[in-house]
Amino acid sequence: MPIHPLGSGDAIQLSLPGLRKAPTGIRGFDAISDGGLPQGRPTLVTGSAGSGKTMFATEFLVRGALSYNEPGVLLAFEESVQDLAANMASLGFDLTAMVAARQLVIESCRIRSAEQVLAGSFDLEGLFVRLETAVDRIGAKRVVLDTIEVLLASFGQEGIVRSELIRLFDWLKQRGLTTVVTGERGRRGELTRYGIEEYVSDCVVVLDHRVQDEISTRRLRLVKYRGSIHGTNEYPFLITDRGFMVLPITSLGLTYPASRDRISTGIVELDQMLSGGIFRGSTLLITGTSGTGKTTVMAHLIEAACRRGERALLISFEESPDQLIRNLSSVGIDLQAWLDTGLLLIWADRGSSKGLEEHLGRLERLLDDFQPSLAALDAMGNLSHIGSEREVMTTLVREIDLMKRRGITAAISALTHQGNEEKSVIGISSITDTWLLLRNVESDGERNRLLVVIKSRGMSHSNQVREFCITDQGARLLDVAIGPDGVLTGSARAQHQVRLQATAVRRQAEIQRRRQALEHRRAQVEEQVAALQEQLDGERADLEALVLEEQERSVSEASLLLQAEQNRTARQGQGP
Amino acid sequence: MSATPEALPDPARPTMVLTLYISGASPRSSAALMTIRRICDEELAGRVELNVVDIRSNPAALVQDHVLAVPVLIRRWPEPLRHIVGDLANAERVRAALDLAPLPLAPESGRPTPQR
Repeated sequence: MPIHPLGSGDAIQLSLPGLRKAPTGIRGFDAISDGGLPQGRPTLVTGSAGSGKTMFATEFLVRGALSYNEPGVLLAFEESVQDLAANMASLGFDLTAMVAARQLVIESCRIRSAEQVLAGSFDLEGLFVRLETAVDRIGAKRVVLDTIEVLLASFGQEGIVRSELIRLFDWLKQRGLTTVVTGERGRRGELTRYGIEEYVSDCVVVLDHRVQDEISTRRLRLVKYRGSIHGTNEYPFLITDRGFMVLPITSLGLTYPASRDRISTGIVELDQMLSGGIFRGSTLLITGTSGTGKTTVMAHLIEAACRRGERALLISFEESPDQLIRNLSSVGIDLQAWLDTGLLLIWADRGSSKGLEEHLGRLERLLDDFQPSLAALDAMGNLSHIGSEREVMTTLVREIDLMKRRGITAAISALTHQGNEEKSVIGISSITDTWLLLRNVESDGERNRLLVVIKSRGMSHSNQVREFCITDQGARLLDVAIGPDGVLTGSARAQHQVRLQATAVRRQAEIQRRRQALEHRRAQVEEQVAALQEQLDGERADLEALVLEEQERSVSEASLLLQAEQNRTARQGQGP
Repeated sequence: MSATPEALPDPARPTMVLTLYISGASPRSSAALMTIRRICDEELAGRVELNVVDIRSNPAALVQDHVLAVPVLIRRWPEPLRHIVGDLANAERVRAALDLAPLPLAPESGRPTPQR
């Protein structure tokens, strides 16, 4: 078997070579069975009464004839042709018209035990002839025997019927007819009441219908599929007005295309935190306790999508459309306008009114019919009272998957409880791409909102906690204010800012004061310098006067000396 | 032994209308055919209408008559409708289903023998 690179998608090649598949056309089933039922071989579909065996088998025939050009024969051992046609009409199939168009042959093979007497040995040649005639009449490729098991109890000769059934299945295989045989589960959990599975060894599908906490859920499981890869989980399924629908948990391959296209969340600051918005087709999870603004974030996303001219679907489990429109208009988001343009569709559905699977089925229909580019689910916590936590999670995983496969950007809000905000959505956080956590903080007698991006795959994102304000102009994110006790919000934030301002003013004043003091001191110093200079100048002047006086005195002394000399010389000339 | 008197409301109509579906010349079909022929000839002579149909020659009739197992003898008249399935080896059941009187046990074999 060739090894395929991850995500190469087409899982059909993974089954044994040579095993050809007959697609059922039943939504979801061909995905989990890797292409359908074994072609030209019998498959057993078993389940308790009312589990949908007949519907499954009949849809297999109907889709085969309509979609794959494979006419089919239905032998009904329990129901009349009229009952069958009426039942299938409720699924939107017009069997009578298909019979008229030679796409189907339906024959009732009911045994009326009351009329019947067994008086010797027999075989089922009559059944063989009828089947063969019917197959040949329309060139059938598919056969349904519903529920041939009843034959085993009808004649009181189980041995004969068993050997005839072996002959029948041999004949069906020889003719290459893809066959669905239905069986009813035994009371003690046996696959079938009469052990018919021993003749149908290739593929066994078990249907289950259980009521849990007053909510009915239907499940399908591929118990056995010889030579083929197949999903082994229990898959929920629905019987809708468009037929059977199996809901795979996730696609067998993670093969959705990943867009690099960014779309705006509708909140400018949030886009900045996410370095440009979320990826188209990604899944955004918004969690938070009650009243943290999850719905508002959703509404922004929706509005942003509508502004781009894209269709958006809002699924509300909490509020009626009217209430949503009113409440969101108070924060400046006008959903009514978008409803009027037809770009927005609001589906309000109290989760509890339907089972989870029903909910899932309706979602798929909405996605198919409306073809939105963005879908918002508000809020998934409301599903929790219609199923166990685990069931809700798997339903959500499936819902996310439905959207991912269609390339729809999904936003899901989840109500969490104080204290374990991150824990309570552990099941789905791993399959979401971006996770925003909204939190209420209570301090100084008020509640304020915080927003943080817990994760965002494939993009750089801010690690900062932001204050999330809901104004009448919509949501805004404020830059963080960090005080000594952490992030500050609301009036604490305002107080913090006032404090900051006061401090700044005080500092300014101080500077001013110091500047003045300095100026003052400078003036003082300058005065002192001037005084000293004056003093110095005075001293210098004194000194100079002294020097001058000294000079004058020495000059006069010299002239006196000179006078005296002249006088002495004159006296010597007059004498001897 | 003669037929029960109340079985003759209308002399023009046969007492009994039977259809035997057989599958060609299979041993079971032959056995069934022989058995019912003998009953008709010996006990219901002139008062029974017996049709023998090969299942391959008339599949549409099989659908109408809800035939799956063969051979099968269908008593259409008198009502109620009865399907007597098998090669008719169990004579007692056949007779009971046709509202014929049960046979006395033949002492030597312990098996019912036709009464003349």
